[in-house]
Amino acid sequence: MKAEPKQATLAEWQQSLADACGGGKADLDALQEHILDTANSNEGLGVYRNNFLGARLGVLLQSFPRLLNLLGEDYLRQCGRRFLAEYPLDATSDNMNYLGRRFPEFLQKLVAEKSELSNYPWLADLAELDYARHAAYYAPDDISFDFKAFEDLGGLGQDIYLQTSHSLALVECEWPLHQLDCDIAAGRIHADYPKQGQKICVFRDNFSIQAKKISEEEFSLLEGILKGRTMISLLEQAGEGAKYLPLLIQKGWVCGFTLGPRANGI
Amino acid sequence: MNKINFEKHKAPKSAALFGAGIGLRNPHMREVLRDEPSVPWFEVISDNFMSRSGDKLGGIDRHQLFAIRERYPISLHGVGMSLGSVDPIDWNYLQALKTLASDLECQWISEHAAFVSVGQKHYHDLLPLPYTEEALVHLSDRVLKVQDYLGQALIIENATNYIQAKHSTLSDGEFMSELVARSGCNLLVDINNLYVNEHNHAWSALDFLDRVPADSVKEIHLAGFSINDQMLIDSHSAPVAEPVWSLYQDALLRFGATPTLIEWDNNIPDFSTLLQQAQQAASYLHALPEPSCES
Repeated sequence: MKAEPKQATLAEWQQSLADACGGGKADLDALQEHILDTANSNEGLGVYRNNFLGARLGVLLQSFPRLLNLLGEDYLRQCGRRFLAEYPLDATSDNMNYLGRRFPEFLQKLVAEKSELSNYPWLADLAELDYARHAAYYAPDDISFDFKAFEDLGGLGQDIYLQTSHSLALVECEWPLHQLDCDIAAGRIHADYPKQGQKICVFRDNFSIQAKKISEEEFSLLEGILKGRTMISLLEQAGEGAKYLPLLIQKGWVCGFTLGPRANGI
Repeated sequence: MNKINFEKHKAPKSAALFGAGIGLRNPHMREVLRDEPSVPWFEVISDNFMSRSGDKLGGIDRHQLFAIRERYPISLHGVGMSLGSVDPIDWNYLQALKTLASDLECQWISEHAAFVSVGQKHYHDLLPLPYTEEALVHLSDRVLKVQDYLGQALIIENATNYIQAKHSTLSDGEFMSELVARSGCNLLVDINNLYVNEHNHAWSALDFLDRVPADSVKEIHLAGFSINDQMLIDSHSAPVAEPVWSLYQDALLRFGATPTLIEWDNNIPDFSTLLQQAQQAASYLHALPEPSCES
């Protein structure tokens, strides 16, 4: 005679259901022990399994609109399924906005492996641009640059660290990514694009996300800020390019500053 | 370019909800700011706007939300608190929620009687609890702690269940009624969830409506379902179905004129469609008999 399974504790129920959402047959069998066997119990379980996969695939599709235009939904879903299987930890973070963070890295490997992607050597760069736009959308709001406080700092230049907008991201690519981005959005992709290095700044301006080509000098200043260099060292290295800093502040791309330990008397 | 006049008509702070509101989702936010449609209140998914320390992707352009709050009362509806989970309470999450509610001067915070995470992993779905005494004790205790921290009563929504725990000993109505009694929380009755559960498991929606304490019901949700083979799915992807409207009217007769919300999260239509659904809900609210003055 088969022994009755012991009644699941709350913790056992939760772990068992969670495992069944993303697991294999053994996990499903384990959960079956704890659920009522009805005409639609398997279908019901399928809803949770579909939701688990579908929610994450939905976010991926939403996060990479240009990839979606280029590859189509079916192919991108296939890529997404494999990505989620290979990067499971990213897939179970509580903030789904981070889900596609490593998708460009995954695509870089996929392009090397899949012959049908050989015409798209810039695919990972396009994904990076998509993700930068997605991240800009979900970035926290900025505060305005406090010019008065900045002026009051006087001679503390050695220990001032500028801050970029939370939404700002830099994308550097050896392909004409900006043109590719526009062409894909317009559905007029060409057979091949000549290599052409480009630097792009993605940011949120009021309510809209923008991706703009920027100069070497602007890129260098912004990259230095993002890498945590002091304002003085940035300006020293920038030379003539230092003239761009007020413009970057004006655009809201540089919107704040912090003081290092020396300025704080530590 | 249409310039937004933030001073035009500020919504009163801490305004009470009334009538039929709409669940506001990203595709409609700019349109709402531009056109200022006649909607008594909006509900937003709090998780989309919470900024947690160190989280670089913790919110969507809160300026938009704050601009909307200046014009309309807003309620916060959460999906990530994982109230029923056996994991420790995520105080970082609650701190972010409390800050958001305070910034918005919002007194309406709702969540689900469900869990979304276990073993520190998030499953991004509202997973069902078994309706047992153990789950009730656990959930009540967590609701009390969260309410204590937030300084206000939570509004808890009944869940959709696609499977039934073999060891459940209570009905969904009994479970939610006991939750109110033990924790002092309020209820958000999702009529579509009741209808979907009734269809899928033959749970009585009317029994649920009869069992829960009417004075604890502070909000009602309406949404559309989809059909997958024999099962109804609470997909929020369609207009409110006729039998759900009918059940809604049953609910109003029991609970009185309760603030009601139209939810639509997938295949999101034009805002005008949502507005039309909200107007239909409002017509049922307005058709309710005036409360009697006699004791």
